Amino acid sequence: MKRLLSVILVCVMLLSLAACGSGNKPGPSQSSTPSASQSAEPTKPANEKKPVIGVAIFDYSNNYVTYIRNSIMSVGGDKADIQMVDAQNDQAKQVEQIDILLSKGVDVLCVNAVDPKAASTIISKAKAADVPIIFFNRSPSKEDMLSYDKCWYVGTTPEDSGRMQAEMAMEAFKNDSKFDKNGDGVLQYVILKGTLGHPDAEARTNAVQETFANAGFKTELLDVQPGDFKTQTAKDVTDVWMGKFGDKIEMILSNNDAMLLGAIEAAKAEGYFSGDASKVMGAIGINALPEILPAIKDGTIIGSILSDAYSEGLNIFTMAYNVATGKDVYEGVEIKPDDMKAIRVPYIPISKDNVNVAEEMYAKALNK
Amino acid sequence: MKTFISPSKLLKQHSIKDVIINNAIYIVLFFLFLTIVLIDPSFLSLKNAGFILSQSATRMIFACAIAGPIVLGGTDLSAGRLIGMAGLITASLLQSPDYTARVFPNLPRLPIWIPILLAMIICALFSLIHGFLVAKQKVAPFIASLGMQLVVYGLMSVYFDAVSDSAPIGVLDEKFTGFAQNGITILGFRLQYIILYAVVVVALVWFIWNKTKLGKNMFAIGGNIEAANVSGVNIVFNMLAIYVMAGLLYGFGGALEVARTGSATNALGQGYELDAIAACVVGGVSMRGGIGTIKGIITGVLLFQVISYGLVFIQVNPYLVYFVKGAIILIAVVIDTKKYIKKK
Repeated sequence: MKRLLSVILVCVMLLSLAACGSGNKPGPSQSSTPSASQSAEPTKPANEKKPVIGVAIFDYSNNYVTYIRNSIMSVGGDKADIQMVDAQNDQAKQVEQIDILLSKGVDVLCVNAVDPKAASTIISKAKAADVPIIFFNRSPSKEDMLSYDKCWYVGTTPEDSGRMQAEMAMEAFKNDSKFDKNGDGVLQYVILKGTLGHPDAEARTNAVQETFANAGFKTELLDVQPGDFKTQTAKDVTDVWMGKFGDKIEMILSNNDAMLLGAIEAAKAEGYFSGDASKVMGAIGINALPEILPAIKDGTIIGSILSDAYSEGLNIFTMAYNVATGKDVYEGVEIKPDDMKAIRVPYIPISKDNVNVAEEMYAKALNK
Repeated sequence: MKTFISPSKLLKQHSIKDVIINNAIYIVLFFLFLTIVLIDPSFLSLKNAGFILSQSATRMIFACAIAGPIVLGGTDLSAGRLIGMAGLITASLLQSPDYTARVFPNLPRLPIWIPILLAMIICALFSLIHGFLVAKQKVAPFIASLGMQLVVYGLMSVYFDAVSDSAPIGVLDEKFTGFAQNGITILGFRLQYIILYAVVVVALVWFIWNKTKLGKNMFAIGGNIEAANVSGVNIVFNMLAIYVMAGLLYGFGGALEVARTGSATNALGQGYELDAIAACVVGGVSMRGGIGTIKGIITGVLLFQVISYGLVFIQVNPYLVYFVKGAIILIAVVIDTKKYIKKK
């Protein structure tokens, strides 16, 4: 009886899993089998087989990378057999997955490395199998990139997002005197930093301060605290700031939007960000997530810096498809590569006037 | 019936040295508190007290919930993920009706109790399965809850990916966020409603632990499962009841947590079980089962929150915060072991 019960229990759990899985979109699920892909386009000659593209993602649960992987699937899902794997933020697991993809005989690898320092290992494996690699999102070193002629990179310049955030803050502070609450001409601000030691967190935080310094803009940095890129941690940190600095804070700059959402929630309890004209506080995020767009639209916050996941996904697929089908890798790619064969997709500052740019990007990325 | 002797009774029979050892954790915490106040005296304000209490509210609920399985002699590593699942479910069903990019655009504006109740029931179901594995199938609680943690995380991530394409679920209904965040201000002290809910939950759990047969049976099972069995306690039923109670509280607390912070992702709740377990241990709940008081748990949660709030307040190097928290837990465990040896 006991055994029977537990067997039933396991069956029910597996069934519910299968039910959840079947309702899934093409993005996170595994690719179609080769036989299915052949039957999908019967008009093409049999020798023109779809190229097989292996895509190694560092962590499926990462927001931004999810938009990239959805974009890759929506751009290329019909043109190629895309095999996507999730390393769950574990570099050892990713190396094993790349071994599997290589032994399956993929035509090209797209790799979102867990640890960019592990790129040399990945490159030597691909080199041995003579498979080209497109790295993306997390950049290998220039030395590694130049060690293999068939490897390229698609990503951004992380410092740019911090620089644009600082520029947006300076513009808002200069153009709207309400932000200078104490009238001293100096911007009192706090930074919500991402996870300590994370390359983006460090690059963005440093770039903000450097941009202010280079522009000769007078600021007073009240505090920098890590919010681990998470809403909940950021909310708790901002509670402390409300208790410690309160109305002294003129602006909150966050390394990402998820943390800014938490900060806004904490400040709301003190009357900020709720339409009260006497309670002023500026806020700027990074990512321009769909959740933050309404707040930008109605003027609650100043803005955010959009990372263009769709263009990244499009360029990754285009380059992978080009090398797999024997064309020039940069064919159809509008951005010029830099000296380490990297295509750097620009960030776009999003404020009240151009929220539609972000909305259109998400519509394309999700193929809606 | 040795297990029913409370630590305070044990203390009375011993010397000052024992008193110091037994209260070492509170002494250490008091000195930490003193250091924070000396570095920045403005820490002592009603405003900060209000923030600390509101931050402690959901943590008290989680600690009271997880204390049940711990007193039974087990643990529950799935707590954090269940809290996250409850948060995701309520957030996805309670987005602001004016927000155009809702995950369920055609969903009518629900009364807030429906999603909260739904989250509680779902969490209770998972905890029931977990309890069944531990009580009936005799799976070690550590492994059973580790398995449940992964199962729940997997399911909630699939749900998260399916409904919102892995983007945070935010812009929640103001009725819902107000349910937790609104409150009354008395002389600069802001009493958020979320604190009141925590008080109600704590009172309820205190009542169950101290005034009902279920509570007495829980301590009996945790203290000595064979003895409890021989004296006619229905082990499986009582354990299941405690697990289900924990699940209901994870569900309720998870909903409050998301109402408090305003958005949810599948990372919500990660590691919460460890914070809750740490608070229990600092509050004198024995990891060996059979010992624990609600008063101790609440003290543990409050002390932890005062310290973590205070360390951010005085701008201590964030890496050092981990060190301090770890050291506090270790001291607490050492004391717990000393008490256990004495009990033997």
